[in-house]
Amino acid sequence: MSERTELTADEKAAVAIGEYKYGFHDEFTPFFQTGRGLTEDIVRQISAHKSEPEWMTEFRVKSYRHFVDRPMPRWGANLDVIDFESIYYYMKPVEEQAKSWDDLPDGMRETWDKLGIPEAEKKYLAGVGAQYESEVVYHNLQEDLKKQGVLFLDMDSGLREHEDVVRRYFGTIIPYNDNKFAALNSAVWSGGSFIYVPPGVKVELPLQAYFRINAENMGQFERTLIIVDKDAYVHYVEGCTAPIYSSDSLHSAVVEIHVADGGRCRYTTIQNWSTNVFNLVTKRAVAERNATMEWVDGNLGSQITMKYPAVILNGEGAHGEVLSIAFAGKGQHQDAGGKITHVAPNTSSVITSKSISKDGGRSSYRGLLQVNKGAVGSKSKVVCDALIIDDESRTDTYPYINIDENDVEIGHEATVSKIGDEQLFYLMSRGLTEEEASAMIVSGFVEPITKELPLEYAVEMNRLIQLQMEGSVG
Amino acid sequence: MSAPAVSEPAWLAGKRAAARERYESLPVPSNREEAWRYTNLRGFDPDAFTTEPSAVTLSEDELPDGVVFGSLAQAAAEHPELVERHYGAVVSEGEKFAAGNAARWDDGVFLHVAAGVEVDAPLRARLDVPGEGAAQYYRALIVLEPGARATFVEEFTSDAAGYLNVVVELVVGDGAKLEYVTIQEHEHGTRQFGTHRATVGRDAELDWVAIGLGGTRAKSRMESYLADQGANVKVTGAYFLRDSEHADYDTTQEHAAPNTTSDLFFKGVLADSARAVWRGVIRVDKGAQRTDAYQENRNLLLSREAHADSIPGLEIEANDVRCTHGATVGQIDKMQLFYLMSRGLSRAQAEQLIVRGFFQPILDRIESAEVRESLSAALDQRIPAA
Repeated sequence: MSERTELTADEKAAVAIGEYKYGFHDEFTPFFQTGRGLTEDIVRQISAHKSEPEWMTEFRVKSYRHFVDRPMPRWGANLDVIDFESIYYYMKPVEEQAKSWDDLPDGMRETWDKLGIPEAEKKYLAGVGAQYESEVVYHNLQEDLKKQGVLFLDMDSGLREHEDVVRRYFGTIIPYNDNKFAALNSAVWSGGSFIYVPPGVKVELPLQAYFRINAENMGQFERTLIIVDKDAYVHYVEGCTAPIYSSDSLHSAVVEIHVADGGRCRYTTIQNWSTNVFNLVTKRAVAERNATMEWVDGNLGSQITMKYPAVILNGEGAHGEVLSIAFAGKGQHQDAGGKITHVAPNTSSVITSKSISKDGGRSSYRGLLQVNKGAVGSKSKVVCDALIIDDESRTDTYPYINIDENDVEIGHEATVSKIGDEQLFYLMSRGLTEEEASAMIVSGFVEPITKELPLEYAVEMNRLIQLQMEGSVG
Repeated sequence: MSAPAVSEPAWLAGKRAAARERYESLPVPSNREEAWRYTNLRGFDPDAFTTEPSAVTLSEDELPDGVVFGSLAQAAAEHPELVERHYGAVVSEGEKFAAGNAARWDDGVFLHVAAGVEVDAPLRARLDVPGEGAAQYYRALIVLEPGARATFVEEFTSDAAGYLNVVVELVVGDGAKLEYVTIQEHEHGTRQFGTHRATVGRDAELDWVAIGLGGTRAKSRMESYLADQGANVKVTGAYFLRDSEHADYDTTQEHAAPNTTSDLFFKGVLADSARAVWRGVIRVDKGAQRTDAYQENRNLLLSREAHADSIPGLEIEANDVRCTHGATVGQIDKMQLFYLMSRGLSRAQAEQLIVRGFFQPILDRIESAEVRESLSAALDQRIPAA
């Protein structure tokens, strides 16, 4: 633990100069952790420590072998700087899951107080699964949801308590060999959420989980599986803030969602990792007949993000949406977008992307729109707008469109622009400073997406944009 | 390999030798390379073809003073100073097919228009790929000195399964204006791989038209480099593919200087099991402020077996820009069809009319009436007869 004490000092210094709003760091002693780096033995240890069934151990090992064999992706952002040997792949903070806030260790409660979680819960949380390090240590599901048969657990408990359901869906939407980082997650996953919503049940309030990476070089590999049964509805909200550290941290999640006939799922992410985190995430949903899947994806933090939430429109009449905001500041590369595959007839999709680049940051939209043979009557619209704040920054748009069917309507548009002088002039003539006016214009630019967020997140998003825009004008 | 018809100057022989080395060191591109993701070359061996002399036919209109228009091999011998200045400076040999061309070309076209000289009638070149198993390496160097004006039309045809390798270098000097039309009209089975690249100077204008009618496998890189302030490029593409024809257009609009404008519009109709790929990038370099760039691709699919890949792209490193792109894929509008048929047209007639209408905005972009009319006729020939 000696190196952790040193880093805490570094990090205190970083916080003292106000580099990162949520860059505080608590002292705590992990209950169990593997060493740095990864071997097949460590993968087996993780599984044994969790007392997992044999099939999961074998799944992890098979995934680990694929991860080792699979070459690094050679597209998108440059990932050569990741040092896989220096990462902790598993660390468990407390032995038992807490039953209430009072049972949590003091340090953790303080961290969450700073993030405002208890207040958020008081206001309108339907349930909280807060991820601290690799395990969900606190989990609260309101009684009425329980009565309706809604399951909202951390993934490890989900596997223990509902093994049959997990086994049926786990790794079916995102197979272990989907890509290098999905393979890594499949090998070492820990935590994440498991949600099951029974037929016809509509969960009125969003289910929320806070994710945090707390220890330096602590890879976080949460695994989320959401099953929305026939005609059911759920909105899951994932918000991320991470403390700042002096060396790089890896976050590589896998999220699998199955939306059955007539069901609807909305998954909202506000990603605000500190700017040393590599955020390499695979998210994919399958929407069956007349089902709807919506990804609302905000990427503000991290050093590099590569994330393209996907929807496979598998049943006739299914609808998929991706709403994406990316904000790339100094030293950041946001490589984000969306992927839609039309498999069944009369399916529809919309991808809306808004990106902002500032202070030498680079934001890229990378997307794939695919219409398979037989998906007649498919309709899709992809709109990408980019705003560049200064002449140091960069924006890219790579919207792949592959069409194998002729009875379709597919449209794509993209624009790149700057903050208009007339807009600025108008707002400043009304008494705003240039900085306020710029922030207001940027907020207006992303408004089509913020208006889709739950109120408290919309407020937080606008506040984050204001923070990001501070000092943007001379 | 055939020997060049005219004895070659030493500088050119040197370049050829370097290119040959480069060519031999490069593998035939595979699908794993991003640029070749949608055009599969498996089983294609460029070296398995027998290189035949390029039989280029040139138009023979009377030309004003200050114009050199003729065989590139001959020009290299007769006007070495004009050729050497730009030869190989626009298209690099970094890519397999371009390197192959630089090593093996035996003839092609050289056009040089002196400063301020205007040529009214279009200058034409025509090349027929000779036949089964034959390869031709065609190279063109078109140079307009400042203030010059000209129209150059090149046409590639074939009626057997040959292989054509094309490199075209275009230099549009300050204040000059070039209209460049490149047409490929191949029968089933021909492969055409090429790079066409233009450098456009200060306040210069390039009006580029690319027409694709046929070819089993064709991939053309079409790149414009807007080198100086006020450069303006318009690129218009039309393709009509049927059977199992496959055409891949890889376009780049690179803005390297402020106050430059580019406008690219590609439209294609795909019948039977034809496949078209359009992949376009607008690149705005650092400092190229007040760039105005546009790209659009529209595909009309006439058959369930047809396939279109449309990959627009923006890479922007300046902030005071206006860059927009759009892409659509669709089929014949059933309401339009219904309307026309309710007016007494047969289905085939109605479809023909709709396809013509689809290409009309492309034809409207072509300035030269002569070029517009010949293209219109060529498209009509392709549209299934009513």
